[in-house]
Amino acid sequence: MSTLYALLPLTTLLVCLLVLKYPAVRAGALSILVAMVCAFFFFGMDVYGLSIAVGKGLSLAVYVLLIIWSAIFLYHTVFEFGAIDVINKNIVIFLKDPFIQFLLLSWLFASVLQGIAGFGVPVIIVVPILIHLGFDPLKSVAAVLLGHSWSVSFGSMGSSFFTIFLVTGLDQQSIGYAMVLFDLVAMLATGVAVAFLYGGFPAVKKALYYILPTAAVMVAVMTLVVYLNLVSLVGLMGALSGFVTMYLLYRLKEKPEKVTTLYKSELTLLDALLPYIVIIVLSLLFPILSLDQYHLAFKFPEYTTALGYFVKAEEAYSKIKLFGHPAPIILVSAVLAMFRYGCIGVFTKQKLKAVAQKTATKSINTSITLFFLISMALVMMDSGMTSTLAGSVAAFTGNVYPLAAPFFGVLGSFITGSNTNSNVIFGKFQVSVAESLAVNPYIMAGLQSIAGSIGVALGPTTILMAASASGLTGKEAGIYGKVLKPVLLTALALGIINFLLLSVLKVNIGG
Amino acid sequence: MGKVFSDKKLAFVMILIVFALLYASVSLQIPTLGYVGVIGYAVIALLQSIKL
Repeated sequence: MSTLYALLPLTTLLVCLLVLKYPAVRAGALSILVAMVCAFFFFGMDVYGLSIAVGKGLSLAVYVLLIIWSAIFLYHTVFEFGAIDVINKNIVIFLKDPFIQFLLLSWLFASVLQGIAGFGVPVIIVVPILIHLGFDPLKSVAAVLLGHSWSVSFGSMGSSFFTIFLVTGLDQQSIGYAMVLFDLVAMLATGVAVAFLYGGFPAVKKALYYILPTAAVMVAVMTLVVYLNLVSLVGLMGALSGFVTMYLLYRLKEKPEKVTTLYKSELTLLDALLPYIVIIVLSLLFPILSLDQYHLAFKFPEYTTALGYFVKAEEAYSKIKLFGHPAPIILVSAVLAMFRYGCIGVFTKQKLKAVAQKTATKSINTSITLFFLISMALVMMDSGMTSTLAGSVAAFTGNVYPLAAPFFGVLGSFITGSNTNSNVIFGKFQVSVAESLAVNPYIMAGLQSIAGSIGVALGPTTILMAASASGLTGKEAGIYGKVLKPVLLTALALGIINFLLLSVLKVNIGG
Repeated sequence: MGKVFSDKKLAFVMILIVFALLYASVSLQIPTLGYVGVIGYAVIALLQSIKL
């Protein structure tokens, strides 16, 4: 019975979004209410426990919202001052074929950005570029969400990769090899999904010429980087090698004319790209400078529910690093860009006012929804609902568990909107199940991380960022409609490979 | 009246106040603030979930 109660908040969210087609804010409000009621009446969580869980949820939401607000501010800055127009026109000069623009930007360029910044930044940067190139907003959002999802686990300078290693306590390099193996499946599936979104099966056929060799190169490069133990760079190097490979394949096949002149308005291409260059430079620079001592973090006490579920105390929860969190980096890049635009003479106070107003209008709805959804995730986690749910499925599936395992990774990302959090919730659990089934734990850990990676495409936070970046706020149900099937199919493919490796071939790595 | 309750800016500010109350409650060990915060948060969610 407790499993059914644990399912209620998620069922409410899914039914509200996918069946009743409610806007995300309304679905989120109903889901947090159901989660609080279930936690209080059926999982022994009193008001003190709810204060801690909701408090943690709101502090995590603040962390994410700072990124969303700053990224939307940056987007409106480059839009109002004409930089995005210069970028788009130059993309068209380099890549004449709209199909190549669509595939290269959503599958690989977004993944390069994920390798550096992550935290939804690729979605907020690439979706508007695609829309301004003339692609349908809904297709653009779905393509970027799906296209970059393979790179999330190794992205953000390796934050999810570090987490799966920390929570499982297994050898990091061995997990890395297993992750690269599963990432090959995710790369191929997401590349095909993007092509299918563009033009159905004919587009998929055309895309295979690019996807297969590009994926092969990326896997080879990522394996090498894991071998060299450059953990933070696996995602970035993999995506960069893929980007270069696909562009070379395009030049080889289409033989476009040599680009002799770049488009420029008052701004040159370099001026237009300045904020993005600053983001890349600062994202690479700050980790080297080791300035982690400058941060804001929240402290939460330990708690045990009346049913005995223990939640450990948090000394530095939702740590916002002044030199490391994406928001300050994005804001600095926007300010530097404005300074440069001021030097050129395109900066006006009216434009700045418009940027601020548009940012506030666009962000408010997303912010409230995020508060509700993230606090729902924390109430579920801290009351023991999530672990009840996981334990029941593991007991129910038994030896065919490896087939069902990726759905936990996806579920974790769907609930929390984060691959890292999915690994925190389910990483140790997946490895424990693997050990109880006497199958290889490294493969299971690798699978968890990559399944969490593709599940980010369904994460409410990512979907909300994408909706606000594309003007589709309130139409989140339509976005879910486009991305749900490809994510579930990819998870199924990962499950089949996992089942073959663990239960049929009994493959052993690591240790 | 309905418009006031469904106003997004007001809801946003109210949630931030709830956050301050909850954090003060757990860090300063004042349970009453926690009660007020949790009930307040449930009321905000309820008002956002019904179409006013």
